Amino acid sequence: MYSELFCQSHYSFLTGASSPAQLVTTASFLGYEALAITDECSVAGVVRAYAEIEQQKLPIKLIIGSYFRFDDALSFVLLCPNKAAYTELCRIVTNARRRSQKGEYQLAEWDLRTIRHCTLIWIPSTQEEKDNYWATWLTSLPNIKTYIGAQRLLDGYDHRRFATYTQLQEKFEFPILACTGVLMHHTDNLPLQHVLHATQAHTQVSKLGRAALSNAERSLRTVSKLKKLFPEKWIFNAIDVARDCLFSLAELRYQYPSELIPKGASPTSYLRERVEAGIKVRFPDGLTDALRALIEKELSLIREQEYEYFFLTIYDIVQFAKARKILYQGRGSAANSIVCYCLEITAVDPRQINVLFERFISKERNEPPDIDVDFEHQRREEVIQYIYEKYGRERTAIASTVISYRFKSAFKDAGKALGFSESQLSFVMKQINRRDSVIPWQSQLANLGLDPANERVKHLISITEQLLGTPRHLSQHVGGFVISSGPLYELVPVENAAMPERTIIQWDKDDIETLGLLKVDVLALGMLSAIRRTFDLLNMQFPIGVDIPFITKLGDDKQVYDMICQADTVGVFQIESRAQMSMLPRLKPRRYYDLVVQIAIVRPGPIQGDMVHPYLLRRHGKEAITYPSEEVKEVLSRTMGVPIFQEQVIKLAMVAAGFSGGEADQLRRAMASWKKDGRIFEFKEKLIKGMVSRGYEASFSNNLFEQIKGFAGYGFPESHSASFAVLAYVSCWLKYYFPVEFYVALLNSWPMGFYTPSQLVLDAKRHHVAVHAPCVNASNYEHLIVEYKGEKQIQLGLTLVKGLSEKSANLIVSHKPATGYKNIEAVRTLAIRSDELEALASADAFRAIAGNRYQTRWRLMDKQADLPLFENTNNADTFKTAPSVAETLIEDYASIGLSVNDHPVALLHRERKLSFITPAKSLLQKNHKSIVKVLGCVTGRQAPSSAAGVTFLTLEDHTGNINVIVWQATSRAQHKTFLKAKLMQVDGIIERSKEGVIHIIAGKLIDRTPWLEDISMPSRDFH
Amino acid sequence: MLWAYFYCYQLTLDAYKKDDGFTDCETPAVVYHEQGNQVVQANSQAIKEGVECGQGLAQAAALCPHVHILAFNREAEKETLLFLAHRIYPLASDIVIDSHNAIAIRLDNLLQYYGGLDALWHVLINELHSAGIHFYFSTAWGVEAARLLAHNKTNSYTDNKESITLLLSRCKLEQTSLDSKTIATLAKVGVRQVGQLLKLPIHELGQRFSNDTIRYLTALRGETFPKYVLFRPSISFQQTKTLSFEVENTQHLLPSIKTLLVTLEHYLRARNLLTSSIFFQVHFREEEPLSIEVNGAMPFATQKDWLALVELKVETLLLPEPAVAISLTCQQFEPIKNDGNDLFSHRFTTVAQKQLIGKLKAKLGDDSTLHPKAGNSHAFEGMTVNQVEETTPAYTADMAPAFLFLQPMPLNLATRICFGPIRLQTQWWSGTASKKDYFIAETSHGVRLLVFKDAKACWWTQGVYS
Repeated sequence: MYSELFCQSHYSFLTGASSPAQLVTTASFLGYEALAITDECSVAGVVRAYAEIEQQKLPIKLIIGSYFRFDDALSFVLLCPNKAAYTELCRIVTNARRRSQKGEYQLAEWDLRTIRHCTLIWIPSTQEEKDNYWATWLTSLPNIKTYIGAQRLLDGYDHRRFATYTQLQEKFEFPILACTGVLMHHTDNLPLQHVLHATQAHTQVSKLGRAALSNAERSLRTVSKLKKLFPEKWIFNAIDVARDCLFSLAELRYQYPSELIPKGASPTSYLRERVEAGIKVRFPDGLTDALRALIEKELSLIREQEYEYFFLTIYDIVQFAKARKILYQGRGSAANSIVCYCLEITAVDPRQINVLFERFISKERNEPPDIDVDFEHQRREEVIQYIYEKYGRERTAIASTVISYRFKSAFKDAGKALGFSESQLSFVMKQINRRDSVIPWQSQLANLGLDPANERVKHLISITEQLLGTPRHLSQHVGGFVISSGPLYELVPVENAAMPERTIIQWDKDDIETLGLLKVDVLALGMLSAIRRTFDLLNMQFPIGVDIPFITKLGDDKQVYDMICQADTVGVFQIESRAQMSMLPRLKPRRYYDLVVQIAIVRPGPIQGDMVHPYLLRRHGKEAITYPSEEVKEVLSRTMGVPIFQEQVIKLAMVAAGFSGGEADQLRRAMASWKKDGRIFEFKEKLIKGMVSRGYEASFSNNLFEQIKGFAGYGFPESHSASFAVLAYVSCWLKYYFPVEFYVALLNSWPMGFYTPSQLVLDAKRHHVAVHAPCVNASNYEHLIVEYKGEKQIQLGLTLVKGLSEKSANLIVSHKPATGYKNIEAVRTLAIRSDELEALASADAFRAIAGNRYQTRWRLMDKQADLPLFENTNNADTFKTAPSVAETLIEDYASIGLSVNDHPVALLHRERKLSFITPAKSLLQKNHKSIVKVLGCVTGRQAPSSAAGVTFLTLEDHTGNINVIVWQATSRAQHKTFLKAKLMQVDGIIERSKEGVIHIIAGKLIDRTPWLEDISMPSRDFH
Repeated sequence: MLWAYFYCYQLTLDAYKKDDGFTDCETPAVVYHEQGNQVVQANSQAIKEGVECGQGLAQAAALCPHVHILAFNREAEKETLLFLAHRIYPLASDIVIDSHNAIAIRLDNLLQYYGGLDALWHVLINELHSAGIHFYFSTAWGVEAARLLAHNKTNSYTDNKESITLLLSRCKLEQTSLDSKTIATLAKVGVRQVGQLLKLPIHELGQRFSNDTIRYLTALRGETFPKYVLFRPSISFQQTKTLSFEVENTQHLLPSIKTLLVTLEHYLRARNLLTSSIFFQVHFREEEPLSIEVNGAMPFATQKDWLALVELKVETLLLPEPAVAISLTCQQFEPIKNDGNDLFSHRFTTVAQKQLIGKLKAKLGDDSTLHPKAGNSHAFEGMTVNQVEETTPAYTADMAPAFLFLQPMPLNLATRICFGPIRLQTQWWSGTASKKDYFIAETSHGVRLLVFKDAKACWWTQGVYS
């Protein structure tokens, strides 16, 4: 038997060369009794090791510990024999990490002096004088149980080490135990370790010299070999220390903050009280028996699983948001329950979607409930600060995200370490087409000057492959908070994030899930800002308060759905992208649940699984709705027999392929990480065989597997879609009934969504909303609604003026005289920087008081006007030049990113005879398959990976957007125009579906950019 | 005054074409400026494919996948231009090197010698054409005005003031030497042409623009004449040649070296000089330049003599990576003396020890003299290394044997292991990966050997300890 007490995984970044899972699996295979995972000043890898042992039921004990280097002569391992020691270790790691910037640590002598419970294994340096000093120092700490960790590495220095160990033992009476200092699970990983080492040292493996490991002895070695290498006593000492370590991660119990519960109340009673109070708000007319039964069922399930604190924590956070009038929306597996509806965590009325709560909190799978709460993106920080203030920084931290090697970084680091020149690597990286499904990247190297038969290239390939998925560093999760009742560092070490004043724990969301800890996701969503701003504008005008429940209670509005079916959805939530807009007239949503499907269907999962077309056929009655079995019917009846949602495919794996609850859970996890580790393919055979043996067709099971792959990384469950659909509907409702308020709110919430302000303003104008350019006398900082002759119009704000600071804009607004500024000098007296005045002149914001742009600038350029004596000199009259219409347009785009007066294509239509060109809005009158010529600014070039070389061009003219499909052959033949044109004429054929979706199939592409010279339209190229 | 201005817009391409027999109509080629990430010169074939100056490399490559790309090097262009100035210097005295790619020549003081503008012009143009240079040109009353017209591709010569004024007024501001900020400021008030600018009252401009701008405008109008630094031929020779392709085989360097030596020969003959020492530098994309000094036993000028010596040197030259350019410098000259230059005089006295080593190195290679050092390697083969440089950090080589065999020999003697094992598993990256367990073994005669056991459990002797 043997127990290894010093072992670093690849969570000792750029040092360890094996994963915790590989280490525990191999150690178990070799017959080790115990293995300590002791990453450097970190416990980031221990949960992975714990999960692997639990999952594979490995007969090995996991010991938690950490390795530290104090200076060049003192390094040691701390092990946790009990929970108190674990808490102590977390505190030491946290202190050392918090003293340093992200990714580093700094240990203090004080940290060591406070050790009471941990076992210390000292790794002497073999520098005699220093070792004696530290040995004396360690003996002065009576509370620490200290051992000497003896290493035998067959590197020519073992005799020196052994002499040191014996001398120290004789002099200071520290017992000696055997250890390796494992860095890899198998000797085969030595090249990988060398590459990681070289990367850390910013050099090449061949230049590491004696700093590199000279052999692979720092791997997990067989017990028989270890017995030959070490005296028996030292091995027994290691086993004894391991046997004294009784702490397991299973002991960790997460305690929710107790202050949430008022004195005298229990979590259960308080949750019930809050739910009952919520019922009165949500169901003023009282509950039906069915709903009451559902609430009771949910509450009892929550009580059984002891999740009351979780729901109450989120309840507390959303109550804060509500009090501050910050709009929010809960989503996630547990969010769409009736309890969450009553607690006002979500606005999704559970009566509208037929979802079962058990699906969200699964007793069988023992998963924690998942509730993400989106807040207004411009105000999420207020919520975060509230959490920090309420629970204190000691008890609150954000979960980490492990940043791992991806292809580019792996290829680059491996190449650099192997001595390839950077210019060659960057050339090859740019040329490799990772989307090529026919020729893998390894084979493409041959065409790029790297001979795959060459030894060095072989190493490059194999090490790049090994590096993929290896962690590089910890980063901050987008918004997952962990809050505890006591100091968080007693549960898990906390370290600094890159962002100032932010701390992260050393575990990521998977680790948190493994240990059953609960995290609260506080996320940001731009559309919530826009909707809240629209509500504010409406509530200023109308006595009835408008909010999300108000709109959802009105039920499905026919006119709003008519608008949706016409794909008039620029600016609304989720269903605004080009792909979504093309689908809307086909799917024709008429009620809330249709939107839930609509949002989920335009995703890689259903598209790759070939589920879209069958769904449309069935929806429009062109194909009979059939089910291969009753079990499948139960799962798929909501979506007409076609799997659309992530939950459905997982459920199908259970009912149709015979997956157990645990296996389905593993499948779900594999889906989330298949790009990293490809584990999903382990399930392919089982899934297909399982389904075929139960009488399902092979094509059905193959499609299902393809869909599972499509969901991976882009998982989109029904519960999320249900929450998003509410916001999609609300934003459509607002756009239809209150377009002016909606556009103003949307523009004030920008950046967000899919469209630029220019495109939003064009859309507003298409809806007959008048828009005015920024003006020093008419604008505020933000965009405004103004009334002109009883008609509501949009006055754009000074925020659009590029180069004008918020401070100066507010100064101009706050000092504006009641009758407005009379002349440019009045604005100059506000001591605004000259470049900001020029920015205002460029935006033509002085047009009301200083003539055209050229005259304004000529006056601003006069340096004498700055001198008091010359203040009122007015020589603008001597300067008569005026910009042309085209110049005005160019300046509009350059200064505020849009033009309220004109569109380049409209200008061209006026200046040139372009009767042969069909504008976007006239395409509807053209026949299917007829030849047309269209002209527009190229505002988007999208080449989705699923579209096999096809590029989707979006051309914008003054009447709308034109969707152009360019086949690969066309783009190749005319690549000059295809790549260069900012203004493009496309001669092509109209393709109009029965539902009225229009695409132009490009034939000839003509670059018309010279017509515009230097107009610059923003283009979104090749996502 | 009357000045001619020649704007040589594709000097790199011209130099490339001239040296490599590269014909413009065959291969599309561009000159790429790395810092600005843009194409700065393109030949006619590349332009036909849609490549334009100002494009990024990615766009140029997308438009013309087989385009030949040359790196822009301002210093190299400057050298080419200096060579051109040397060439014109016998024809015209007042020459101004205006930038890395333009040259101005004062004409009015030469007219009397050539008998009029037409005759002078033909002489100058002929010389420039024979140098194989492409250029835009113009004439005007000052360098500023002539520069503007040449950049506007006017391509006409005249001394008529009205014509020059008319041509100037049509020029765009972007072509002037005004700084981009001033041009942008003027464009913001709708002033885009020189004619518009010259019409504005000078006092109004004075209230708005810097003194430099006003000075430039008055020079453009011919109202003031700034002082120009005139070209004086240099006293040393220096020229760099960018190679037309990346050269790995040192023999392929010779044609370019020959071109440089021909230029040197022209230079020396024009000055009646000889040299006994020349200095080459081979430039690489990433590595530091490699310097080669070639010394002649006696001074000479002809490329033939020098090439014979250089060829010796090149034979043993090893390139760390493909070469991209080569430069030749010559700073020590001797005048040609006819007296006492017989075959045997002073023949042996001038050959110093260093020259001898230099010649040995030229023949045997730079690594012919070595110093033993402790190396930074786990491998016994690398624990002691012979190095030319003396900068290696000191490592202990306490386990290294006194003598290491070039090839390990089978261990045939009866021995006793007294130290070990030392397991080495390195060098996998060099294709010589092996796993060996080393020991120090002692023979019955007390001789200590470095022995190892290979993967097949065979025993070998690698070295002997003293």
